[in-house]
Amino acid sequence: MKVGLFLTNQNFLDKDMVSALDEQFAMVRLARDRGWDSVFTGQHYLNEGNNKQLQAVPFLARLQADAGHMTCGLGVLLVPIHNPVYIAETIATLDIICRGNFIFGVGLGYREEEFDAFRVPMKERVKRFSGHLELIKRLWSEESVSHEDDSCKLVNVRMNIRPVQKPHPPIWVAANQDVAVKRAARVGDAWMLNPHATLPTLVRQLALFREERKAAKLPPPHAVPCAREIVCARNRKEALDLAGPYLTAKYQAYTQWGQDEAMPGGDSINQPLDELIQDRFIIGSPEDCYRQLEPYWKQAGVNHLIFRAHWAGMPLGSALHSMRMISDELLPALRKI
Amino acid sequence: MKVGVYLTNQHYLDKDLISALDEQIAMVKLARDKGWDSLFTGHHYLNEGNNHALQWVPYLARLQADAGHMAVGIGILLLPLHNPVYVAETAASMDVICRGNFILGIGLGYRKMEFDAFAVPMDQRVRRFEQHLALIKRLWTEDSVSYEDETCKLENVRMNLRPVQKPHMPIWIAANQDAAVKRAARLGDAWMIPPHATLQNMVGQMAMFREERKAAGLPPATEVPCFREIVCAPSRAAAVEMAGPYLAEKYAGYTRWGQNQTMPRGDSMDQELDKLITDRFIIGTPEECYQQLETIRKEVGVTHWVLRAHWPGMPVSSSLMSMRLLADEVVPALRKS
Repeated sequence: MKVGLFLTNQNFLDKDMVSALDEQFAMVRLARDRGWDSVFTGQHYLNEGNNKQLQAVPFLARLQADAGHMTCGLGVLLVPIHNPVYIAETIATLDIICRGNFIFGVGLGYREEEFDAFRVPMKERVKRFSGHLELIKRLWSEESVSHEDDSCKLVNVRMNIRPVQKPHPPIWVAANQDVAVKRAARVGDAWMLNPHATLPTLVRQLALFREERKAAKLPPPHAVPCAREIVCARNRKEALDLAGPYLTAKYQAYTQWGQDEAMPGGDSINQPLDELIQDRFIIGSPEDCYRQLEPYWKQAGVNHLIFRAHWAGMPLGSALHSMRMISDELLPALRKI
Repeated sequence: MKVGVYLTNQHYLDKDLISALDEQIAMVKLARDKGWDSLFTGHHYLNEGNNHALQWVPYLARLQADAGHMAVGIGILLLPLHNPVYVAETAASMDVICRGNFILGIGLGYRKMEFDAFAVPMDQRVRRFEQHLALIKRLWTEDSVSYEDETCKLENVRMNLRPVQKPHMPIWIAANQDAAVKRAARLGDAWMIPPHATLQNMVGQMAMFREERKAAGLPPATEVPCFREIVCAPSRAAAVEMAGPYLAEKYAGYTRWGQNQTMPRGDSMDQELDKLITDRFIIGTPEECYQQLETIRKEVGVTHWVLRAHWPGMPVSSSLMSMRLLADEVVPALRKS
């Protein structure tokens, strides 16, 4: 089992972002020094409400300097709103900066505000997602690429900058709905199980994912990564006291931003915390956390857990405390799996 | 007088880019430890010929980790190619990562291949440059922005991520031709004098720049940054021998890429190295380098040298030797002027 850290780096508006960045470094260094395997971050533009964050590409590139042995991953880049040449060169650059130890997470995006800001019709997002990814893979591997659509025109172009990993970095696809999970099976190297899906949903969708790979004559994925919200403390009550308000606020923001509409089969993230936690978040003592995580490898075959331990507004000390407990008392047990 | 290092980070195709990155970091650390003031890099997509380079955003964000006290700048971002929300959030992120010590250099771009790759009509580049810059400044400062054109649609948007520097980081504009120099005077905080401008052209265009600012009711620019190619060695012959082939090849590359067509008033980069050097490049002993730089400073009023000491193919030890000689024997004298 690999264990990674997900840094959202979202902060309330009154937070000084330079200090917030130092806090992110503190978490990366703790994870690095405790032997965690990976660090991930995500991407949004025009964060709404009481929320702001850095752009993922420069943030991750800067974090790499403190990441040591850890794999760095983008989880996820919003593919449909970016130019494919931009993506291909930027991702190749990140793979070089990470010395060939980089994971390229991709997603569709769901916020109309972001599509408007980039003047991309939301109804074209699937077409652009698939078309861009195909072109990006060609740019990384072919000697002469010609292409023309409304976002990019190339005539016998050779993209000279290439990723270190051949033919390209692992492409992990984020997906909520069944149709998106099936798409992930066809175009990606792995499906990134998202932090807000319940365990039963993930198990059901993983079966879809595996069937679709088989039907497409693709091998089973090497990586079965799963992002989870986690709070580890001496006991469940202390864990809820530490993180409850911030985790609740994060999920209210997801709902306001429209992620709730992307949830599969009648599931909703617009619920009180008690109900949200069930089969979804990992909260409690190290033993509680282990028991709650166990079904993820037993039922779903997860082999890379990516933990988010900090949400906007939460004091850094609480997140570091939780991460230290994970490192000391949970990680050794997870390593045996 | 400030002194910075310009890292193009362009390499021949047979060069391993991870090792090349380590070489760039070696140059950054030398400049930092010798007390230089800034580091810059440039921006291209789809490098042609025997040439590849990293994308600037992740590259500079990674270099910042080793930059210490130095200001970090992009010289330049190709503004018309990019979505303004992307530019506004990315530059603000860079300013946060650089702790309020980031310089945003921008330019039009001149390579048709790049405009095609981003599906931007080249005849719209001036309009997009001006409109996008105005929108980006609004996004950094206003609480509700509405805007609509073919690249971006915003309705009462507040961009929550703001630069550390208020109202925004210094905006330096690159310009070759007279019209572009005048535009830089109206829209920017400084004109980035290009490395290939001759003394005669710099003097004439600097006068134009100052007049245009005055006519627009703007104060004189506080920074007069000048980019120069430099080779410092124990003798002029040694300097030419050490760097001549790489510098000549770099300018032959500029010509092939089409930059030659943007040169002002009949000047050309398509010349033999001997002729190119005259009044343009800084080559020789420490004393000769000092005299050449002083001549330009006196005539143009330069306040910030940005020096490039490495070109594709050149062994990094030659560049480090040149930079060490500069740091030890030229920079102390420049500081006094």
